[in-house]
Amino acid sequence: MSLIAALPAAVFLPLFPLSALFVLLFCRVRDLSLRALAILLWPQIGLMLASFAAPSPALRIWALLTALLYAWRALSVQELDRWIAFIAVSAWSLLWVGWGARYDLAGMRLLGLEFSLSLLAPMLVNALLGRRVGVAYAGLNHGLPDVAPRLAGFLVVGVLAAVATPPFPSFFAVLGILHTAAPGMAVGICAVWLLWSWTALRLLEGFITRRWTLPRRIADLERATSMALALFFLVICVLALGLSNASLAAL
Amino acid sequence: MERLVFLLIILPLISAGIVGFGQFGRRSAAISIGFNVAVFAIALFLLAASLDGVPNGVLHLNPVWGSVQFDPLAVLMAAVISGIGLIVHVYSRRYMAEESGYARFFALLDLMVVCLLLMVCAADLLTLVIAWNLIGLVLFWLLDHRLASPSAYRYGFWTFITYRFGDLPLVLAALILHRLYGSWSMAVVFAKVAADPTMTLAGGLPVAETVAALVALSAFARSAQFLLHNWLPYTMDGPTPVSALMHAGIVNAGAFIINRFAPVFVAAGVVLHWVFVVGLVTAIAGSLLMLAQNDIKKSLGYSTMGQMGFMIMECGVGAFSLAIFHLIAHGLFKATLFLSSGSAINQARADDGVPKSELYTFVVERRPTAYRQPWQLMALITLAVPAGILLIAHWLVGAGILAEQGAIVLLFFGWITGAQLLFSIHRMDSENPWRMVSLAVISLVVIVLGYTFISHAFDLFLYPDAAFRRAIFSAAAISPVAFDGVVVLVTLVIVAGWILAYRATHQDKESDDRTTRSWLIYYALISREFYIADLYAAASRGVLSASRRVNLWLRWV
Repeated sequence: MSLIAALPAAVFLPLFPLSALFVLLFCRVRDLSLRALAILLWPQIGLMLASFAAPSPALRIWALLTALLYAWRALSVQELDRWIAFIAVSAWSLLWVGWGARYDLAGMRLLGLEFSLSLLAPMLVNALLGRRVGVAYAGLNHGLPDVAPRLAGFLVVGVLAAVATPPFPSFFAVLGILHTAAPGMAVGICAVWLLWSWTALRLLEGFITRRWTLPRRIADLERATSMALALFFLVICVLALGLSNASLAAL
Repeated sequence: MERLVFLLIILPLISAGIVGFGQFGRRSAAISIGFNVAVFAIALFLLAASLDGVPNGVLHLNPVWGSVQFDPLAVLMAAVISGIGLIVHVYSRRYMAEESGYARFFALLDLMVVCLLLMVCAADLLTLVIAWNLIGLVLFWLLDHRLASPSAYRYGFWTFITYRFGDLPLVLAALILHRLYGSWSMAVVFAKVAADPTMTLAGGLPVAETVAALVALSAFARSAQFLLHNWLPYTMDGPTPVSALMHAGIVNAGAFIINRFAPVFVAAGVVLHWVFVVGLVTAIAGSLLMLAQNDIKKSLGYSTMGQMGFMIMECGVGAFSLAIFHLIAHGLFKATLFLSSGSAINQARADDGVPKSELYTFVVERRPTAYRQPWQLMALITLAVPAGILLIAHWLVGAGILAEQGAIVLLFFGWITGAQLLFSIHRMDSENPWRMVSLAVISLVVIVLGYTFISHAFDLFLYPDAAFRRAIFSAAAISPVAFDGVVVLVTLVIVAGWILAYRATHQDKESDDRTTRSWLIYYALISREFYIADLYAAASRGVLSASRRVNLWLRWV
């Protein structure tokens, strides 16, 4: 696929600098359902547009560099929603890299869905946290476990789900992409994965450590909401099992 | 039996669920301990069954991945993990009584036991990779149990990142094996590697060497080998039971993973040499850095690093089962040390007087003794007795032992250790020096015979195939000329060390002034831990500030 032909797909399977469009859109739109829709559909549209021809080696390298760039940039991001957008761009651009002979469009869609499902987890927690503190900003709301231990717990699990931690779906997506990648590319993908972990822990540090110092205390999640969130996490783990069976069996 | 293995893993998971999501408060500990007693009992039963000759088996829980196995290595490690886990659970019941998040702590301990058991019992590569990944994550949560502490978080982060760095080579190794052999099952891929050990990847890289090198790299990160060791001595801000569990169990995973991939390492002798060198450097560095510590827990941390170096070194010379015995022995005594360190610290706070034992007088105050045996006689005893004990012990378990280079290396280290022990004893004040030396010799005999016989028993249990045992040692062997050269070189280094130590205590004022500066530079280097942590910190600060600058320039989109 030539670079010109890839341009429409490069908006939805984000390649730098067109990736800025998704970040802008995601950070501007505040409605949770619209954001969820964007997270679920954006890569699927990209895959549909990209399916007309296999990506060239140059395009794969560009995609890997995009993934590395956004993972590295996420290191210094402190707003949770912007961090989700950066990780989404980084993850979806890897789909170009994983586009190999072993996967057809259906297989790639599974990988895209695995990434999207994992990104929904921190997005939901971000919405719940945003309603309580205005903006989920690391360093501003530190000591969260002091006032909202349940919310803090879900925040930790949600953020880790986004960065390909087992048993969440994105872990299997990264495995699937690594499986098809050439050795050099595989090392690059591993570097992206390592950066994701670093960004996750840096972000969480600003929420979890120290004591709550803001004068206003916030309400923790109600029991019903906690149960619903726990059920959601359980469902995506079960889905991960099913999706992993489907995507790994295709290898 | 495989169903019992599954039960072994699922029980602590159920316990974690009950304790984590229930509202049991202080009763959480009792529930958790109850489950862990059951787990330990099942593990012992499985070990007894394996010793009794019950054949190995695999249970598949899912079509693609998620299978567990019953084999000697799995049940032996399961018994160790569940045993140490139970001790830590019982200890934590009172130790954590005044901490917040009591139930959460026990739920996390249970989760850690689940992950460790899943790792040792995994029958397929993907399950092993998932368990290997999750251990780092749960350990991070345990180390960061005191949520408000920024230092606990920072050092937990170091651990997590090092572990994640070590996870990636194992992931790549698993994917390479699956890509080439089309199966996630470890038994299947190992059989295929053994059938054609010379197979190469698309780029011409040999499969066995590449996979073994990746697995070794994973083992290095998990077992705190030099340059990947920084997390280990610093993770002391977490609760003491976590330190005990980490130093006694989790950090030993390096030897386990090398043993699990033994059929690959047999076909990758070059990698074993690399493993030996890394282990040796780590053992020396860990022991050196331990000398400069003034914090008991940090000192124990570096002691663990040194021990891990020896353990990896044992793998490097082909003594795979000895490494497993080493990790069990080290696990038991290091857990005891850590669980006792809290009371030692409290005692030191109450009374800062250092006990004036004979050993202290000899090592620290260096008082000349009133009466000594002639040093020539003592030197002869020093060199001859340990050598005699070691040779006889090894001859008893296998007459052909001296044909194995790995055994010679380990004998050599044992001999040096025994010699130094005896020689230091003769310098100590004692009313009856011969009694003292005799006791030391008897102790040495007990330790050496115990170590030799037990490790031999481990060898027979873990690797019943004599041809495979020989193949491991052969894979680790180097050419006789090179081996002799290495032995001579190491001997010269040790003798030079002895001469240096002798001169340090018998030099005149002028040469004393000359060497003081060198010693100060050396001390600065080891007290700053070779500046490795500073280098990593500077590098990460650079990466972060560059990231900020780029984000500003790109307007954060």
